[in-house]
Amino acid sequence: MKEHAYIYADNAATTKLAPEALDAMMPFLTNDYGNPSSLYSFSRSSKKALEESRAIIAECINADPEEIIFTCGGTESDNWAIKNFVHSDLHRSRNIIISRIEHHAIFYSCREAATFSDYTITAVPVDKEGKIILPTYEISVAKRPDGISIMLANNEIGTIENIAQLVEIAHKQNIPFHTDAVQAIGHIPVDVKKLGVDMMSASAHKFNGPKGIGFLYVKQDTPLIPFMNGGEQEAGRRAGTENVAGIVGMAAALKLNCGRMLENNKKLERMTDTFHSIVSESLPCAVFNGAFADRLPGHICLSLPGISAEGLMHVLDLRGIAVSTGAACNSSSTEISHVLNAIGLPDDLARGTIRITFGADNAEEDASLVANEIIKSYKKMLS
Amino acid sequence: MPEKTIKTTPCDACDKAALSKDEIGICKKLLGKETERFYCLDCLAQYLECDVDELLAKIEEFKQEGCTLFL
Repeated sequence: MKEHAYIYADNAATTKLAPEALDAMMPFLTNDYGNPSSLYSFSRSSKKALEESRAIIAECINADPEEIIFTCGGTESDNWAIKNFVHSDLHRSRNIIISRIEHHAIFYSCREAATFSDYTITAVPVDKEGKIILPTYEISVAKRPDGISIMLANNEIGTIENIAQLVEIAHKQNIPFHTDAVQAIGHIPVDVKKLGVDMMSASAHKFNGPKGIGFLYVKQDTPLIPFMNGGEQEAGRRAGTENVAGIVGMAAALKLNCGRMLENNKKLERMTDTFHSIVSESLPCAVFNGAFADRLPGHICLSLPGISAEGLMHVLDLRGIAVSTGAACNSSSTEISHVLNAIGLPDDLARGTIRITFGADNAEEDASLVANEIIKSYKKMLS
Repeated sequence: MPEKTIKTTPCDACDKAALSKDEIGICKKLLGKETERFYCLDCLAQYLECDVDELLAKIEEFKQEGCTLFL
């Protein structure tokens, strides 16, 4: 009954592994299985691949290789950054600043800091586009927190923050700044020197790399506590035998995505425009959330009144389309996302919010197919 | 003794008189908890232009997740 092949439009959740990344990984999943820490010649290729991958990743974000620390993903990197604020020697105010739209990896790490380390957390509000409200941020920064963590691009609404400006304000008070760039890296140009950040989180599976691998960028001379103990890997900062295949795949995927970024983003902009015009014309009640200009390519956050987004998501799945919802069903209740709450979206619209994220592997015609299926399904749900 | 009456929900599209708990649950899940339209699996599949097997697979997933609409 489906008129098209299954369309995956949830690239903010995860992306398809690039064939180039898989090819790069294969030798280290098969014959080159040596432990990079071992001293015999058999491990030489693993060790070499590890350091070459570090250099490739560093070049993609304009960092130095020694500033890249491999982790198991964005969540670990975020946890590490917050724990580093708590366990650093600063302890000026026992306060951390975040935004109201951070990922749970940041929120829950901060909650732990509040519960077990007697920290206070200041969650700076955002405007209806999801941009940090600058005067409020400046007032909070003036209280000299031990650290600031604000995401580069939001995973639900796609808004890109002006991190360079926020960092400049923080650094005037010598406050370290971390950014969760999980949704941004590999999709928009990211230059750590231009951003000025002290730490930055990334996850490979968001940019067509493998799952279970990521990195934390740590600017040179930034004090850093070890996250895991038990070995001298990653210069003694993150113990544990390295995931060589994952690291090699991550480097290959990031290099590929950075190389094709311009061309890919032009396609994604056309797709977003197509989707927007089709849906707006048929459904004048539709609301598009997030910033209009400063937004991740291919990222659409759409609210439709009078329906349950969860129902629409399942109906679309039955019609051969994968999208996600901003509200998660908790068996008996449906909770509205903290991000949609933070941008002040009314409950009726928040309950009917879905996220459509096109990626490099989508065909351009997917935009009109998805738009038309959403219109059709929405009308069926309402009628 | 008064006669015990059992309230049944019919399918809006065909003459099936009493829908099962699963059929009512999947209609609420997909069309909204407040829906006043209920369909049997065949009619719902036709309405949503999908296969009955796909609806059955969804029902099993919802049950495994502990969705209370299917209790």
